[in-house]
Amino acid sequence: MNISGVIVYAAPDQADKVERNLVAIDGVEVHAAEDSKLVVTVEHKNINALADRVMKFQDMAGVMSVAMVYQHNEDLETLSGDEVLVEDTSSCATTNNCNDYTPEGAPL
Amino acid sequence: MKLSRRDFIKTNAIAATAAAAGITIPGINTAMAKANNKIRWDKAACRFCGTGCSVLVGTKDGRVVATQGDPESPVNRGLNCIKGYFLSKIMYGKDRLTKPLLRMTNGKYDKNGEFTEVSWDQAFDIMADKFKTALKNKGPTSVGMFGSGQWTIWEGYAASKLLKAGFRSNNLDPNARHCMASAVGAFMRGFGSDEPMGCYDDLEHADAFVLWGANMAEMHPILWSRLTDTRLTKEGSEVHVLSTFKNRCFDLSDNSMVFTPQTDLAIANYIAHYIIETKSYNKKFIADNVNFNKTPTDIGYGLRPEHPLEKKKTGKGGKLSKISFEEYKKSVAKYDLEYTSKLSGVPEEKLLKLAKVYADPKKKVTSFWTMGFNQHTRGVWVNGLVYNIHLLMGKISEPGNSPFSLTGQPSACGTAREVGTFAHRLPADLVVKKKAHRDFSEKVWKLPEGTIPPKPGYHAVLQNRMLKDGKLNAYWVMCNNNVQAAPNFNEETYPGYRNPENFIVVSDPYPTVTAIAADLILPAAMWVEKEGGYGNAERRTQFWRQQVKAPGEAKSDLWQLVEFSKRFKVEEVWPADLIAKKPEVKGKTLYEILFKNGQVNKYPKQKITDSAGNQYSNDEMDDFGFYIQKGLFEEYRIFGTKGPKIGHDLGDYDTYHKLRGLRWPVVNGKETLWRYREGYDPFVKKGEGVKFYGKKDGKANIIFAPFEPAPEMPDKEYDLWLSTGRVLEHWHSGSMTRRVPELYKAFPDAVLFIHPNDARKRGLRRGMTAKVTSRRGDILLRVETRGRNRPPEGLIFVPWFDAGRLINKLTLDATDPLSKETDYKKCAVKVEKV
Repeated sequence: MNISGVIVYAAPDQADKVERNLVAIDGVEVHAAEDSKLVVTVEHKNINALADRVMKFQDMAGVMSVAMVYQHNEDLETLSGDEVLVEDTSSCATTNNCNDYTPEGAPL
Repeated sequence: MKLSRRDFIKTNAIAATAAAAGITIPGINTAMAKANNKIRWDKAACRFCGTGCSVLVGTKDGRVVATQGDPESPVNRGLNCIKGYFLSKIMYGKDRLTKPLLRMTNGKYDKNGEFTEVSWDQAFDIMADKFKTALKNKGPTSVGMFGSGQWTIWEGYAASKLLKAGFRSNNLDPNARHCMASAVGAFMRGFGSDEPMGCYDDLEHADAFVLWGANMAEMHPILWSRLTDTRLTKEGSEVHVLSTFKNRCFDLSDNSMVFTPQTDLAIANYIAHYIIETKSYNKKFIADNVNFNKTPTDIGYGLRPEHPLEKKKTGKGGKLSKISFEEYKKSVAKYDLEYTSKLSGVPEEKLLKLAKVYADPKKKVTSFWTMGFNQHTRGVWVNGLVYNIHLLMGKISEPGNSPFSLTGQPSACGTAREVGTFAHRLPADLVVKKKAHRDFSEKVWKLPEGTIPPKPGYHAVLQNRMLKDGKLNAYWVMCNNNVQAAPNFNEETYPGYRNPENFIVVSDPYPTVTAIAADLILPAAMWVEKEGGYGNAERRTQFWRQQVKAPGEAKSDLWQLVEFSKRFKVEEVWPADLIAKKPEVKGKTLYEILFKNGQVNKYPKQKITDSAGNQYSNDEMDDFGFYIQKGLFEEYRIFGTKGPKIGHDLGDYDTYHKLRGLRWPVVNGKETLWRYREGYDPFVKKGEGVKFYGKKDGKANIIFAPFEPAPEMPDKEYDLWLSTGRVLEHWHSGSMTRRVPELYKAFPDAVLFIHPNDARKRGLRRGMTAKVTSRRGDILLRVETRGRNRPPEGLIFVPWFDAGRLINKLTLDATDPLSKETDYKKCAVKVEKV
């Protein structure tokens, strides 16, 4: 399962339309919208579909720009059960584009 | 608190995205997400374009497993474009080169042999032999190197020392010649100092943005996101877009202008004319800070001298002559609204709207341009024409008022330009032609007077011509893909590489078109497989540590350059009279003279750690026994702090490892956001206001240049303009991005973007295959009449990333005679059904 966080910038008068078109896509959710900026997550079982999805966003009417922020990829089975909050995402080691969020930033 | 794993991850995704968008979502707590303690995170500059985004690189068990936009980066603020998103995959293509490969038959080098694995020793043996033979037979001008705006700073610096001082050949040019040379030429002519006066902060300060031949939506997506953000949130802000075909930027545009190729020269002059006619110009600024000039005209097109167009020219060069304001006014008077609209094909009201924005003293205007201006047979001129507009209005060197030349490569600025790896340059804006500049360089490098040759070497396009003509015989191509990138593949590039008189070495991580055209391939370490530093388009220098080991026997470009220098005794490369000027070099190798010179080897081997105590490798330090990157950078830094050109100061080596880069000039640890203006730039004293200190009198040059036609225009037979360029998913020649499955799948092959009417006229429909032919070659492409690029009738657009469809078989090797940069945006072709 692949979960991504993406910012979609819509034309000022078309944010509502863009939001409607986005949520009509399977696995796409819009969590907030402010100043024509939409906070969007994309879920898909196939990791390779991510680029396709995002490129589709780019081509939608009223979309001005798309920026990627977050991506996580791991096995579907791990995701199905309830688990405690903080835990290791060991599957990162097997796929080289598992992007874990590090709120503290990198050590310097 | 319990959460399902999916919810937990999704919450992280929402929190990170909202934070990057600057939106607060109640109930989402970013502190919930915890760093994964098994992944080591460290920062690095992105490997792709000139934006210079910072990414966090996650490493586990010696492999990069993750990357993400760096939330602490002032450039990208946690954002990533689609290419940057898949950065972690670029090093792991299945066909990574891991051993040197030499063309051999029956165990011996043979130009027509098969690539055969050899040891590094064998590779350097044959290579040194070929370089020594060329030097002995024909002298230093028969050896050369084609380098890169993707080199790390110290790699470019080491190459410059090896070629210009070691081999005493100025035949060193970077691929940045193809992308930035015109920008450099205009900066030097206008301001006497390279690189923009403004910075990315202008993206938030400006009221109006004007795009002159820059498709930022696809080529600089993160800067475009920042620009979009300003346009959507700042009242009264506007975006003007000029291009020869409709692209994605037009979606955000308030004033969209499709102009006939080459007429940008006229449009820029029209705006200057409008400003003067309406008396909108800033009289005081002009009086205090500007000189008026004109440049020689009808200067040819940088083709081979025997080309008919070169024989026809009546002027030459770029020597400026001073003119009065009145003369300048008269020169631009011809470019009135009616004439310019007719010539350019842009409706009058749109041109007027554009001119008014520049002429409004209350509107802060930032102009952006990239290859549309630089890859232009009048590239230096047209860059300068936009500076003219900003200078007339005084809209320069302050927040939001910014003529901004963007770059295409991650270190076109930091390495190619600042280190001066061009055939005519030395570090920190010094040039080989000036004795004082050579003297200073020789002093810093501890070399005898007269080591560096005064004559500029062969530039990029000339290198390929000289290879073909058999004058350049031992040639090293490093960190670029020039067989795919250079113009006129069929007539110049390929015959040059395969000329039996020549020995071609290519260092690359992958078997690119260029590598396959070589005689010896050296496997290269890439990106975070070595300690590195890049400089981006806003003068920001950024460093990273080595994160992982390179595969197999692959070695960094730095290691290759320095190790190869050990193969040369000074007596084999320098004449006796030069050695006699400094007898202590006798019997030494170039390695000892250039790199073990008491400066570069000054910093001993040390442990590399971050503030959290994580430890990192430095393979070059292990091999050479000293901290070579630091030694090279600290020696290089002397050019900026003590050199004859002021305002090029960089910070010290260790500082850059501790922060997200600094914009030079860096004085007392402080960066400079806007150059040439009091209060922002430490080199402008109190009371001086604005001072363009790159010029002796502190004044910038307004330079009049007229409209002149392109060298090859559509005619009856070749009836369409061809423009080439990039697409969002792929970076340059695609040698990295085409090896990322997701990106390859998103845009697998180059296509022919064409107007539906032009397609129909030729019996073509979307999806069919068409033959595209110029006077130099032909290729087959799939027809695309829809999608992101919509050319007008009479013009086609083809991206150049596709190694299987080499558009440079068609392009013309016409260059700007001043900058020597190729015009990849204009030549004549025909399109036929197959």
